[in-house]
Amino acid sequence: MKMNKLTKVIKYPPGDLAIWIFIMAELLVFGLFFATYAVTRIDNIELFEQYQQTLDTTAALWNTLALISSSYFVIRSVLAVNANQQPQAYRFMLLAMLAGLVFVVIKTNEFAVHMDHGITLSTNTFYMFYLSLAFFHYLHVILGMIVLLVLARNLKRGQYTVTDSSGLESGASYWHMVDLVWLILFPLVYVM
Amino acid sequence: MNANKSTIWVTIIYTLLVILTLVTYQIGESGLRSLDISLMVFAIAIAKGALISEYFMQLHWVKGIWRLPILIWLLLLSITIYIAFTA
Amino acid sequence: MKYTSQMVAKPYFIAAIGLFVAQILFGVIMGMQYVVGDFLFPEIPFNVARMVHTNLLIVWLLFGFMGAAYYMVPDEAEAELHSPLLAKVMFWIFLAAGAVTILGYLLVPYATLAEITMNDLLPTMGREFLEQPTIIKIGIVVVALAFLYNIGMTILKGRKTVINLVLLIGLVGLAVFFLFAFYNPDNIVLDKMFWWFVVHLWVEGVWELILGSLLAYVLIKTTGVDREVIEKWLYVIIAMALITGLIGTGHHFFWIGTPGYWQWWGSIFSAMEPIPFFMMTIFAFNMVNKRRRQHPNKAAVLWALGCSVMAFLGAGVWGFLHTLSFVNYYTHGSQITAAHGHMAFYGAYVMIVLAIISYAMPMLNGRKVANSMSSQVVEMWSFWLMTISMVFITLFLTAAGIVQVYLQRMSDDPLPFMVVQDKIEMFYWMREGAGLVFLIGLILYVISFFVGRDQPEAQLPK
Repeated sequence: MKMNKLTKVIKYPPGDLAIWIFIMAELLVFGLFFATYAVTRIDNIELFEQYQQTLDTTAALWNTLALISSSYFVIRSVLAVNANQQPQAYRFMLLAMLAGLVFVVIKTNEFAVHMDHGITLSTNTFYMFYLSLAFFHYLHVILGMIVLLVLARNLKRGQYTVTDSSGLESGASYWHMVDLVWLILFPLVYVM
Repeated sequence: MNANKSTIWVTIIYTLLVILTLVTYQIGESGLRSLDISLMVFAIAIAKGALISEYFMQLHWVKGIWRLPILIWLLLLSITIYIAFTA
Repeated sequence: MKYTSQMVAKPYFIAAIGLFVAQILFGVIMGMQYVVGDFLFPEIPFNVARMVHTNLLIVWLLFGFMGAAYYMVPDEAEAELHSPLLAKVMFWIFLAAGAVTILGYLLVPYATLAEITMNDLLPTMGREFLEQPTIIKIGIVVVALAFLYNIGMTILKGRKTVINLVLLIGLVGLAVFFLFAFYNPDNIVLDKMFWWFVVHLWVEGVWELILGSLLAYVLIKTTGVDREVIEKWLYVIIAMALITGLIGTGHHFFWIGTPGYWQWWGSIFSAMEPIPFFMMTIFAFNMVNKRRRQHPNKAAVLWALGCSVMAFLGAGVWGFLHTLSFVNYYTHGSQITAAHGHMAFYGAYVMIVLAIISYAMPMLNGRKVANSMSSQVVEMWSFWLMTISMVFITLFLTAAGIVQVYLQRMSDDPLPFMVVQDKIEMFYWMREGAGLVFLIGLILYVISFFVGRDQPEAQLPK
């Protein structure tokens, strides 16, 4: 496929242009959130560093691995459709959803632990940001899971082919975006 | 053939992403904290984002302006974070 | 026009325009009262004029939305309206309720109105924009339910299009959020919070869906661009409108006693609210550039394009100006808010209703697709007069607002409210002048319906 793509000039990203406009708008929102986090941190460095220590970095590690794997399975699914191997594409999509589910389970548990400790948005500025960012991203994962579910259903029906996989690629691009945002969120909020 | 090549390719990228993630985690666990380390961690994250954009989102093969949206986003974010963390 | 039942839209459109004229008359009166405080006192006190001005706006826009739905839904669903009779009956009920309410405001003191309408049984009166007597509010709900039933049944039995679906979601949301008008908690923080569930989630939430749907319809009809392309844009626009609009409600929660995180949530998400409007602008111009055919109704295309631009400026840019909490700390409730309110309502909702009226009215009047050229010329004059004078109203109020914020809230030596009002009198005079030009534009708009009726339809140049 890479060779195919090199032989002809591709002007547009995979999937529908509308989804890319949406992805850009989403990234703008997350970008603004990240920037606000960083700017607010300037005046609250000690507070941020202190409460950063209370987060579960190991859970975040597993979550990162889960999302990266999920993204990987999704691209494998896209590649399989391009290679005309629909059954394999379907299996990869199921794996992607499984990995996504791992993320949801771990993250839900993290939120539950915070709630047990009585932590809310009003606890302090760090938690306000952490919970807002994590929860907003969490909602995106759930939306993405629904997208993957639709893709898997369509794959099972054999709806995507080598020549017509725009829907699959649109959904895949969205899921990669969800992954991408987490890859930034993880070091920024948990580690730095 | 070609399909095989690109699956090998994305698998290499995937392995790279996993390794970079483990490195980030180790840095976090090591308890070392300094501005330089923070910036390094963030640089790794930006690199991971670029890999996602280029190979998972397949923008590497897109010619022209549409190759860039994610990369530009990553660049702007890096500048913002750098300024905020060194301020 | 393909379906005879679309005709029920006509009385709705006429009522909308009639109430629009009344709204602007009260606007001009109030503009005068800003500078000549006892103008028309005691017959029409300022607070009453304001209530009438804002209530009429909402009511005529609702008439416009309903008319638009009755015209568009059968066309999109490719089916006759479920019950034209119900639509006609509801029209008269709604008009009577509206007229009674406005007369009530004008003829008896508000407290007396509350008493006669037995507000104490279920107190809902007294909140800005939701001043209507409880019984009238119940009437609105009944009309809305009958309307939704009528539209919903039509959509169910016919072709299901994305445009119809988005409109239906918007209209259902409109009805559901209005229910918060009946919830009147004793706690003043909660009271304010739920009040915004109506006010904000209407204009910055579900109404945007209605706007997007109507705009997409007019564009499909006038440009002939593929439905598939238009639908994709519509999906993206409404998704963005909902994400930013729903959480963006937080920008009203800055100073009413809600938890502090709303400062962040409200600022960040509402700062993104211009995005869907910006997308709408790109969308409208893109579709018109890609048009497959010229449409003889130039006026309708002009309204649609104008709507997308003015909505972005008024709702998007002027909203953004004062939406960040640290800016809003100073500008809250100043003339900046008034500037934003005027241009946002005009750009987003007035213009989309006028666009669909402009598109539909020729057919409702028995034309094939468009009015005569001379009628369209007058209509386009009215477009420019109203739009440009609205830009000036906005600019004058913004200038007034900046001076007001500086003198009253930011300077080292802040002045009292009324002293500042005296100092910005000049801007109010200029605003009143622009308002009169707007009224002239509106009169021209009404005249355009009576011009060139016996002339042939506008033709495309060959």
